[in-house]
Amino acid sequence: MNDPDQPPTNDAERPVACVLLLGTDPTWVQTLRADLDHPWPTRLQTLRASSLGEAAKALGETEIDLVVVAPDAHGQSLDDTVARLRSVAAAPPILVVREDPGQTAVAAQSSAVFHLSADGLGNGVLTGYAHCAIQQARNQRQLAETHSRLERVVAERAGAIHERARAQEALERSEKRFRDLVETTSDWIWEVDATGVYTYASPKVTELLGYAPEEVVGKTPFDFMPPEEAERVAALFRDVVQARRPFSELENLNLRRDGTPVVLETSGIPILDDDGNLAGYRGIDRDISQRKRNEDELHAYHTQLEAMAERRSAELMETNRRLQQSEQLRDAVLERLPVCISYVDADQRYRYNNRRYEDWFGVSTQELNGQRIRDLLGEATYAGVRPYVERALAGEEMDYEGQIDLPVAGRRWVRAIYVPDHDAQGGVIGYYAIVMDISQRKQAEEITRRHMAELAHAYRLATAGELATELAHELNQPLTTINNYSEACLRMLTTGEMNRTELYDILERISQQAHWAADVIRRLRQFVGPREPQFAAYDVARLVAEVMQLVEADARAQDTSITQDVAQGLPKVRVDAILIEQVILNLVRNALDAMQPYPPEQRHLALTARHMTGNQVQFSVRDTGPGVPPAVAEHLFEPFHSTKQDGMGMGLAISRSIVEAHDGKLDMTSNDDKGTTFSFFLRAAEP
Amino acid sequence: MVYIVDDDEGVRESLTLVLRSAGISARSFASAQDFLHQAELQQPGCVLLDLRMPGMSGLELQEILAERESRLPIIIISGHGNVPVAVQAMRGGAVDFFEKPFDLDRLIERIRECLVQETERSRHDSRHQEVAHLVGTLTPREREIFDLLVQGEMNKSIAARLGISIRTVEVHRANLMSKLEASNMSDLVRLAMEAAQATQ
Repeated sequence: MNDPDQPPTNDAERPVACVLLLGTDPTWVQTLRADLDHPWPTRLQTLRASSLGEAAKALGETEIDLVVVAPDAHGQSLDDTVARLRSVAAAPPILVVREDPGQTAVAAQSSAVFHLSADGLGNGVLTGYAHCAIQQARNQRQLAETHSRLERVVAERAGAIHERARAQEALERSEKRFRDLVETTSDWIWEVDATGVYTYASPKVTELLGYAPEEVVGKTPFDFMPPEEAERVAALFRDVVQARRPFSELENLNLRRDGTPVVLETSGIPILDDDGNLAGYRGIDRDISQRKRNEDELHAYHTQLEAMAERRSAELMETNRRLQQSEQLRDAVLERLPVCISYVDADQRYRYNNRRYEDWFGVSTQELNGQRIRDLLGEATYAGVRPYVERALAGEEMDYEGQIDLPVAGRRWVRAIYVPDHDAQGGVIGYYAIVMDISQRKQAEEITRRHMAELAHAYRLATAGELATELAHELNQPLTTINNYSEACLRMLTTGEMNRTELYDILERISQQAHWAADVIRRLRQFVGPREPQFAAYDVARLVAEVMQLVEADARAQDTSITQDVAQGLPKVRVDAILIEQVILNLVRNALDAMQPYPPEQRHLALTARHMTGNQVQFSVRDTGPGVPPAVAEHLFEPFHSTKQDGMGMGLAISRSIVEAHDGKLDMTSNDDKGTTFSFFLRAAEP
Repeated sequence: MVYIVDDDEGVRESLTLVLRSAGISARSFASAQDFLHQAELQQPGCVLLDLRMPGMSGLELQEILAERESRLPIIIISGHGNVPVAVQAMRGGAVDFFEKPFDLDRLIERIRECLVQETERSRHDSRHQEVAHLVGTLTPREREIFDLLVQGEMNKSIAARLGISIRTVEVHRANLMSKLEASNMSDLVRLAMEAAQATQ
């Protein structure tokens, strides 16, 4: 409890003031309790009594600083209630919260009974009011104590002067004590008259505003505010004063004597004279600049937090939106792309199919779920697909092209990619499949291949024309031989010089020569004749041998020997043999031409076929000619680009097209020492 | 002897056989180098030469033979109707040019002609050598008197020209007649013509 002789030193040590809340209605109790709990330097402890009896009991047992009477606890007669509360010894001040302001007049007005309209509650008004009431009661009690002491002293006037002096001294001490109390509180205590002019200012004002109390008395609170602030506060006060309401924690900006701003928090209660007229206000001001700053900081921090939260929530929304978008995108990818996407389990049953399957097979995706591939594709198509399915389920990634029969679209070329799906232990539990219709591409490829084939044919005709002279010479040899042998036989048979054995031997030689000649002619006809592209697995050594048959004469004519190096045990290659032979022939003839300026002993041509990694066969033609200058190399494979005087410039362009039609690539590299090597890779035929 | 130089084995062997059937002996070589190493270049004969061969070509061989003063007649056999090369070969002294496949009758006939000419030439060559040898045995005075005799001079005018007696001319005349194995004046005149031919 507050001991006037022991002024508080700081807020934390301030004692709790105890408030007894008399009320039965839980709503009121809660409302009032809440308003009593508003932050204030002195904490209020609230006790509750739900009946007058309980209240009396509490007042008897506990030191209560203030009784708050809720509107529902007024009882049959408020006066009676108040009187009964007052009847308790050392009754504290009573704060009556009224719902009906019109009844104010009925209540007995006393300095110990305060009335507060219920509609003025909230924002800690009750707290402020309670504190003011408590403070006022304490002050009055002290004054009363002082007075009674004084009266006792006066009653003892008959006593000696000494006694009077002592009484005077006691009075002075008492007043001093009061003054001390007022002056040592950290708040500035003030009083204004009905016109708002300061009639009292505790010395604390100097600390707050930099003015001495006597400078303040006679001025109004607005004199210390900047004009706009004064205007704002005055407007607020007009209503408060009009209603004679207490007010609390009204923030207002003041200027100290040195011009620096200070934020004060003002609370006040009206002073009513005995007739109930407003005599002025009494209240406290405190410097809340620091708190304000803290609050501002807090506010700024709060704003920052809010902004952050807003940002976060915006981000969250954005993320959501993107997620949604990406889901939509995924749906679009899976469902709208013109490819069949599915998941097949280890039992070769569909577990997921995108809608494209409906278009292809005329079956809904629901029906497909759980269906066997075999049943959907049909036996014939399944037979073609099966090896790939089994390999995918064995863990191998598959990428192949093939033909399938669709119920509506008929036979289509498709490319299928299977990606095995593994469980945590690494076992294959299914595979993902993408199947796309490549019929159009195949058709285009077919057309391109045809064009290429036609062009290649035209070029072969031209090449054959160039080769014809040499081939004619080549054919002359067996013809000459045959002719010679025949003549010899005729003569010797006539003269009887030749026996059977000799004749047999000669005829065999004739037959050999005739076959050889026929071979050359057939080769030439195959080479130039019109034909359809025919892809088949072909022996590499045979390819090389057949080329040699065509080009050998040319090489001999140019006095250049060709070294053949065909590795043993090469896999077959899937090619159109005539086209690939055309490429090799073209490369060999180019090499022969390139080396022509050099003497025969410096001409070396090597034709090589080797097995390379990735199951490919590499063909290369290496010469020791002058090499290809970089400027020429750049355009080497372009059509109509020839370095030869009578060249068409089509040879390498066509060769490259042919190799590319075989999914290969034709390349030129300059040898380290001398000349050039042309090489191309062909994939080995599937075994 | 006929030499066949051709890189094609079939052509080489069949040609050898057909010549044998015509009663002509032949030897064949697969390259110009082989021929140069192994053949008797100074013996009478005939060369059947293919123009296009790896290594040394027919034309190159022809040049080398000319450098070595071979008198072997050369018949070009070629699979190519390559006129410029044929002309060059003919200028170089080839006697004929045959395209493959050959007209064998004509080829054999031509070979025979060549071989006859060769025999003839070889015979001429040996007579010339003999005459030159006989003429070479004469003393300078006998040679003087031989030259004047074949120009139709009488003993008397020869003696007067040389400032010797007719008797001395008669003795020289008898000696040179016996040395030149001549029995009369017409023998002497023929000898003189042959000698003139040989020196040409």
